[in-house]
Amino acid sequence: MINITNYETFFLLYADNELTADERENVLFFVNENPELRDEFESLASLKILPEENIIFKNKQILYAESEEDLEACYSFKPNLNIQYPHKEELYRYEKSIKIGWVKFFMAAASIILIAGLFWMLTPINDQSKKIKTIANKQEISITKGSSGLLKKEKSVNLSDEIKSIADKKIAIVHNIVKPKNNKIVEKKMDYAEAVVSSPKRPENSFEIQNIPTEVVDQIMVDPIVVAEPIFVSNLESNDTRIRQDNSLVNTNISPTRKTPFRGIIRKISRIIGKDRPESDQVKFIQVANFQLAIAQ
Amino acid sequence: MTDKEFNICVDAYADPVYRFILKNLKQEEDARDVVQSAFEKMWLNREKVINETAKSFLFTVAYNLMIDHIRKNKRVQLNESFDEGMKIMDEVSPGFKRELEHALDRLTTLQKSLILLKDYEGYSYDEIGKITGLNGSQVKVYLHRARLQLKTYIGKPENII
Repeated sequence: MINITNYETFFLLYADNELTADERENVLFFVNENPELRDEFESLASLKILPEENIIFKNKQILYAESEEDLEACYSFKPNLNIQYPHKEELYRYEKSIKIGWVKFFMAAASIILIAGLFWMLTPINDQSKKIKTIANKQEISITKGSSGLLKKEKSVNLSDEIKSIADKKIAIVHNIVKPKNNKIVEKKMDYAEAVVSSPKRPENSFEIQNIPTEVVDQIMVDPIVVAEPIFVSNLESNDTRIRQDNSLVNTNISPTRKTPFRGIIRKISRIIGKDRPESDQVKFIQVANFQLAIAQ
Repeated sequence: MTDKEFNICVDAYADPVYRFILKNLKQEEDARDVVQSAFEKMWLNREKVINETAKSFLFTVAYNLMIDHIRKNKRVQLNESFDEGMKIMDEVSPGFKRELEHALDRLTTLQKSLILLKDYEGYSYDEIGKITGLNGSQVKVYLHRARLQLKTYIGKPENII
């Protein structure tokens, strides 16, 4: 409500036209009641700056926006389709694709096989045999039956029913068997079995294997196993703890090799080449490919 | 906003904006440049601007351009163009109005803009606040101070021409 203390604000609001109709009437009533304030009221109300209508912006045409239709009509261009680039062939690009003929592929594969075979054959025998001997003196491998068998667990060799039956008969002695699938190698194994028979370490209740079928040996000896001493699996009960499970076999330097597609080829080549190698009757050895592993006497 | 609507805005708001800017800058060419720039900005933003907000948009842009122009030309020289502008005012401002114009020139740019926006266009405090970047209360306070300054200036006998 307007009074003697705030009248100036109401006068200014009146000049700014910020009052409602009732408030404006109250202001006018207050001015009539207080004529000494009339001059001040009129002076504030007259301070309004009125727009000068004669001031205008000349040349408004420069502000107008031309319609898009007019612009298109005046400045549209149509392409001349008769103009064509003459040598498009030079601009074409194709991604290069590498094509290898079958002949080249087989030549490369044969080269790799040949190099691998030569490398395998030309490896020095003595070094290998020494290495194997050293390891063989430290390692023993026990072959047992059932699911706890080291051979089954550690070497991943599946024992067949025949192996199991042999184990049940408690006669398995396998010593320095290196190479399967070869009658000659089986003979070597058998020779060594004979040597085992004469071993002073043989337990009384142990048996020796006289005739292990070739297929069994093949299954046992998928990978070469080197054993320094005869292994006796004697009078084994189902829970016999006398079976030695040498876990150090896992850490041996001689890791089991896996069958590879090239193995058969290399083996056949080595057999052909190995025929010329003179064999000594006095020195017993086991031959793997072109390797001759001397057996300790 | 279509080109037709834009041109309608030119007809409706070019003069008010021009008056507002000219009153502050006192130079026709500068005021024209500011107005042209303001309309150019509105054209560039025509997809965002609608008819209802076109006037406010134009005044806001023009006010900001004017402030930029004044800042760039801090060293305002009261040259001949200023005198010519004043001559224009003199032709239409005899007597009290003339005194009032002199008093108005004594105010700051902000105070002058607030008074012109209020008296010329009749904007509310809030609308003036949107244009000038203030809030309604600030506009009210600044505006009242400006009017009291005008009253004080005119009330002095030495200022009466």
